[in-house]
Amino acid sequence: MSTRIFVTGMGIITSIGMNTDEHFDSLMGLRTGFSKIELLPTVHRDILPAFEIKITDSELCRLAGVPEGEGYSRTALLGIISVKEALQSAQISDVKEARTGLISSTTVGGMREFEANYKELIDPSVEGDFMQFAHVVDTGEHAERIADYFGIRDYVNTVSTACSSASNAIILGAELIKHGKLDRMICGGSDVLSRFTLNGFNSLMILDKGHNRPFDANRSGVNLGEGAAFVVLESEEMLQKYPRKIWAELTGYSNSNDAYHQTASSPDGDGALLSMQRALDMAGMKTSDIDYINCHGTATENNDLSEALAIQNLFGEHIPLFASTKPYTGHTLAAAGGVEAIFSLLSIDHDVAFPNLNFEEQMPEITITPLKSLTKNITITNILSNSFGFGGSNTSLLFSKTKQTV
Amino acid sequence: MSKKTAYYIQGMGNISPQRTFDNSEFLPEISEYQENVLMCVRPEFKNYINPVALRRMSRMFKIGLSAAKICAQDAGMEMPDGIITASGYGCIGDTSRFMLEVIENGEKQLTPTLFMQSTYNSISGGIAMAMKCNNYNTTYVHRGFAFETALQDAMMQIYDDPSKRILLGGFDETNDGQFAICIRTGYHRKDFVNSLSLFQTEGRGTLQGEGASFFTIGSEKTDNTYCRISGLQLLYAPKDKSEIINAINDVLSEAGIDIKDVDIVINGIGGDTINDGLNNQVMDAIFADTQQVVFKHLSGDYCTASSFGLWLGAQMHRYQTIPEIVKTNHIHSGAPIRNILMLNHFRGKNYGIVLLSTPSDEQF
Repeated sequence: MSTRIFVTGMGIITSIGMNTDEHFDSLMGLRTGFSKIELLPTVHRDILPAFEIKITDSELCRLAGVPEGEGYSRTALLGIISVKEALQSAQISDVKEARTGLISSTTVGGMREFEANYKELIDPSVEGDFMQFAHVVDTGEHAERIADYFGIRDYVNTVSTACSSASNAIILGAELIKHGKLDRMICGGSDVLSRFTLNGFNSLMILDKGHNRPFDANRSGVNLGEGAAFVVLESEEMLQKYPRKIWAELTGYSNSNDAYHQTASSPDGDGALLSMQRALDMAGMKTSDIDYINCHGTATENNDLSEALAIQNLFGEHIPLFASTKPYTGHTLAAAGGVEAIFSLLSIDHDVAFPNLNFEEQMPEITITPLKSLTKNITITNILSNSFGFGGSNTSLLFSKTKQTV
Repeated sequence: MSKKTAYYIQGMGNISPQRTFDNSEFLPEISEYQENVLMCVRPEFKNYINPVALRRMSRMFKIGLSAAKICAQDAGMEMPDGIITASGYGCIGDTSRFMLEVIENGEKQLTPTLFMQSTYNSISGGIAMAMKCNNYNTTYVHRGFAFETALQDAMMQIYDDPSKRILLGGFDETNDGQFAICIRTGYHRKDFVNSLSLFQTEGRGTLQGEGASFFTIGSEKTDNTYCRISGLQLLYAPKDKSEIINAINDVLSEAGIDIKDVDIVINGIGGDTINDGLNNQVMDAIFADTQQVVFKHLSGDYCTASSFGLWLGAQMHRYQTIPEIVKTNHIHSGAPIRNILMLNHFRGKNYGIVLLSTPSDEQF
């Protein structure tokens, strides 16, 4: 199968921007979304920071162009806003122009609204507005909201492989195009802050009370973020038919499993190494071809050590620039693979490498060091983007610079 | 796409509200349920999972992992080339318990294990751990498409590399909270109905069911092969019956057969007079002279119930028999069962069409 897959559009909303341009500005300006929680009603507000989008649900409804009171979860709203940008960016005004599918991903769907209304929802003696949120906790619910909003009917699906979800949505989208099932795929993910997730990570004792420090010797865990990010994938044939700007080619990808532990990565980094190696193999590339790695880099003790060991062992003499952008956006969970795919596309497009903020002290177990400052005046041709998750899930995407037209 | 690849069901493992976990028998006894909730008839979990690990696992986890183990054993497969799971609600028992702890304990004194097992891919990861499988591993969670999209992914993996064998399965469990909410929104029956009388009792809503049905799919016809998956199509929110009929015709013509070649049609209705509408219209329009069967009075309805339907179709192929309990008409003459078509729907919005054909080579 020789079909090539290109990225023709992208849309993103996180704590550092409402769209792609704002994200690029924030990344270049080293501005982060680290903040005190204001909108999520939680007892941990004053203790646990997060990367919250400071926009109320009412305002998100307005931005998405949907009425309030009709059951749109925050997850669905962020999804609609980012898919709208992705379609505009790919210059798609009519999704019926070609066979078009949507693959979203999420870890908890509309849990934020569900947990807030659950007691009323299960009590048949009370009636009220809360009934609009009766089914938001179905992980597929937000995806159908997005699909219905844009009139997408040829394919709708939702992936959930924890923190690698959006990357696996992108892989499935590419496969469906390669197998001739669809022409265009809008792939990504959406996750918002919920008490469920915040307390879940807190119960595992992996949340940093300060600003996360990936790959630092003194790192002490994750900060959660929220956001949605989607890319548009298309085949070469579609680009010949409708020539447009190409952001990059998806030249390789892989999905593998640690088979080691329910939530932890294998300490030697075997799973992460396999994931990156298989993506390189698919693209027919050598380790020396990779210019930059957007790491998973969650700043947990476990992830960063195993990911760094994997990079050190796989790349040996040719360690590429590498960094985690989690200090900018926090960990947006299912959306992270989409968010970081877009950061990778921006790196390729602008020939710039975004730094690993907050890095101060070298990890004693390894000899390699993440990128400390914004680096311009380089050529970024090939980028690996890693996303690893609970359940031993390891996914790597490989994006490559391409000429402006096919 | 001119290359032809065959997709055989080489093994199965099904834990459901009926006694289905033993592949050497086919619905030997029928369980009936009176309270609109159908729960699994469970095997001895310790036959499949080591007792130390078993103690930490939730009910859904035990059911899912055991079904996967039964399936791999049935296929004689030690190392899958991919593990794909599908679920609408994941381990909803653990998810609900953790959510309730958060709500009721003021976000304090929480049980991290519940959170860990609430992750939708915890079972696919658990199977990988149990089988020490580093290969492809993913989880689809889209309502009534979860299982069909998993099956489609498995078929794409095998198309690309016919030496691959994929372990895939759908799983979902019943849950009190979901049941209460679905009664309010009309998705579940409000008045109690005997499960076996579901289709004789008109009303809105379906029965809450559960199950875990796993399949080993590969391109080689093995000694244990049940049947061949010869067509698959998904339809999102079709507007009318003709859209579905067109899709069925596409599936049939792709397989090189006609409607008259369909020996059995599995109608994935759930007992909801409105949401079953299009399925029933399609049955009347093109399958009036075909043997029709139903299954959700045995399994209950849930996001991945079509995986039970697939198991039923594969067993009918193997045993060359149609259990009386699933028949809704009596048209089948007793001729060899060669082609079975399943039309499933979930809440009248997610439609899946699967064609199962005889594994014999003559048609292929």
